[in-house]
Amino acid sequence: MVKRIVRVSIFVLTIVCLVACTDAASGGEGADNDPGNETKELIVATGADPTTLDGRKTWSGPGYSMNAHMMEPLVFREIVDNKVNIVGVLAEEFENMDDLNWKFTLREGVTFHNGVPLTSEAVKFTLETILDPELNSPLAQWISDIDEITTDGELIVNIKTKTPTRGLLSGLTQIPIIEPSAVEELGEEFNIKPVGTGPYKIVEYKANSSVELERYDDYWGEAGVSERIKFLIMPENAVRLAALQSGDVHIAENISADKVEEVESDPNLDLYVTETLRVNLLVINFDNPWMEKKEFREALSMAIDRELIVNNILGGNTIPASSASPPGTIGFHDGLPVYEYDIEKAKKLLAEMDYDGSPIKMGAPSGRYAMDRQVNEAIAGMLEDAGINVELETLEFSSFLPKTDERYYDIYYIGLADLTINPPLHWGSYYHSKNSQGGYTNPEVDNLMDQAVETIDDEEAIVLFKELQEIFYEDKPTLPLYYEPHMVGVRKDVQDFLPRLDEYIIVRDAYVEP
Amino acid sequence: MAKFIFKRLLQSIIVLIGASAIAFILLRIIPGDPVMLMLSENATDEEINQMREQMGLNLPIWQQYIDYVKQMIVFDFGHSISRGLPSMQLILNHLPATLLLVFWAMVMAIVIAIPLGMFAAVKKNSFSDYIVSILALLGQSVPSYWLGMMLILLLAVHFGILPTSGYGHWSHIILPAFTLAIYQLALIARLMRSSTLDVLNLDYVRTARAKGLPEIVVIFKHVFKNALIPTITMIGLQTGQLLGGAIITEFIFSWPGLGFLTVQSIQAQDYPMIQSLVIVSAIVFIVINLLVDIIYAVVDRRIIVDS
Repeated sequence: MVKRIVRVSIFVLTIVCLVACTDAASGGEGADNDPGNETKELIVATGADPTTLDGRKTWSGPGYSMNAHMMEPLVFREIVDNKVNIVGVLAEEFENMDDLNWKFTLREGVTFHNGVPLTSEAVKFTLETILDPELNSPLAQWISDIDEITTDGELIVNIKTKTPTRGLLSGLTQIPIIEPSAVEELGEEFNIKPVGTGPYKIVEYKANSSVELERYDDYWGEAGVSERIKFLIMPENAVRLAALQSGDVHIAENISADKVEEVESDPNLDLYVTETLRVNLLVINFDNPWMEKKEFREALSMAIDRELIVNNILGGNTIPASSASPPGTIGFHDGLPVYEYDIEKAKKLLAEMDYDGSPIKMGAPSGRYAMDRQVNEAIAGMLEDAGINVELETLEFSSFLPKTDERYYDIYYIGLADLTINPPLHWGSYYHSKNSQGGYTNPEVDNLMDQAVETIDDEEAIVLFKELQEIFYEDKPTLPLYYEPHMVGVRKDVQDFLPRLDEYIIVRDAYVEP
Repeated sequence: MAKFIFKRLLQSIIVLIGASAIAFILLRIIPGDPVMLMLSENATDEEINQMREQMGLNLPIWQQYIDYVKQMIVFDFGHSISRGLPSMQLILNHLPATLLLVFWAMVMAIVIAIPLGMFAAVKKNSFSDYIVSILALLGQSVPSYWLGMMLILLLAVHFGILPTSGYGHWSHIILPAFTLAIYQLALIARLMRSSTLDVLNLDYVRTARAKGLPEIVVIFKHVFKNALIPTITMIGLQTGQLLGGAIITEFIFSWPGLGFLTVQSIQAQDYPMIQSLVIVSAIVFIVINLLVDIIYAVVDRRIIVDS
């Protein structure tokens, strides 16, 4: 008994002491954090912590959105009439000199948030450190084709690629330029205090809590409208929506499809829905003898009612897929019809090939994409209706992904984003025999893809891309289902919010009506 | 005495090594690794393997473990893979939020539960006793996940008197602390009720009443103190539980504490981060037990002799 009481007292005492210390430490911060409405501040709720804001390493949707306010790439996607183009940002001009050489001329008079002017050396430093294995950056895959970066004076950067490649510009859209001397000065701290050239600069990043930005007054272009932007990290979907409804936040990303009606019927809220550059599809594992048969894949595809999924589960917020590429990207084939749905034909095909009811293992992540679990339960049901013996497993993404890699599933669901609007990059791991996830092999596809990567001229490349999409449509190495919808809830008093195909939330022009 | 403490310290180190080894091995047994999650959908096998090599994840487990122990000896607990910062720094950043939450949850539970339990005991078998008992039963069985959501919808969205979630202002702590406290609150109330009832039946209480003391003095002077002892023990034990229970509550209320950090590190399979979290929790428990043992030994010398 005595021992217990002693144990208890120590525990309680320790906690009291620690709390007392922390209270003193964090005492001041409550004051400016009143959850009321401030006209000068725009508050955005995002679903995940960015984990790092060093633009050379950031690898998550929320991180991209935050960084897009603080840092700028040489070139970036501009979305006009639902078409994605690449335009210069920090690069005023860019030129393709020959098959391997590119010349970028930087904008004059651009300064980083610490006052240092933007020079070609900063660009070289950013790219080279990303490529350096020491930094371990996942972004290296966007620009792995770069062979050499040279500078010519303050404002000219020359980039030489290893092979003739059309991917360079696309890759560079994902690479924000950062300030070298700040990296040196801040060391690890650069992960939470990045220095870029964007219209907003970092105030504070509190891990798993918030990221606060403040307008950068010496910005080279048109200044941001709000004085401050604050991102709050709220992982729970329902809570994010609740915070929007109560007015704690002005914008909330990733509204789940089953809450669409609730948002639409709320007089204080607007819902912005866009299709994205992400194709959600089923990947076929060619190791399975049934899956390997084209008729079987056709039967699977015909058994799936894509319209029904889109209208009933996703609330009609997107469109059924007709191609392995998302609309808006370079070379998107708009001439292909939506994949056919005909359950009777599917049954007939299965009967003709004497399908013996062997189990088909199907896998899907839960909580990674909009309504992913529900969609896959519906698909499994549809396949069952056609007479296919499906065993569905839904797992949390971090447990699901390794299983796809060891080819555990005969068919699995995933969403592939063509963020760099360079189809070979997001097709590579699924259709090219060199590293196809499902084991799909087609020499014709390999040949066309290799050719497409090296074709720099858009018109020529588009012909190849379209041909490839036709083959994918016919051959069905994957079964595209629909394009991931992105739903953003916005309060009515927020002006000039623009949703984007690339799922970024960029609010530099948005503001709260005073 | 010195020998005794030395011996206990030695034992603690063995426990620590054991805990870190188990965490280390378990993490590597479960399928997948941080690289795969980091590079996600579009990466090729080649890229994945290259990064694994960079991080030393391609080495045999025993070699990775030796490297890890070597670093630990010089107090280098590794950097979080996804955040690039030292894992211990991140833990220290997240610790205050969790302690604050646990502390206020416990305060709420104690302040409400003790009077409630006593009240129920005094009014035994009355209508109010039944109400308290039913509430206590509900409190123990309601899932914190559901309760948290309902509180948000009611108090934050419908009435708009408290913020939905977040951290920094005093008003942010009320909902999560209450959500976290409710189970303990119910537990303590029930315990307090039964221990008060036990004490009420004791001889000295009858004597006190026989002396002609007013009932209120009997309850507060004689019953309260003695009924409190088992409750205090329980409170201590439950505080440890709270630290674990904070995981779900922190996640719902976007509370930037260790629980949130743990969930997120597990999702990203951030090995160094999870290992450090395990080590820190092990250290907390070891330190408490060590202190208890030492103080107990001071109180009762026989323990040293026996050991």
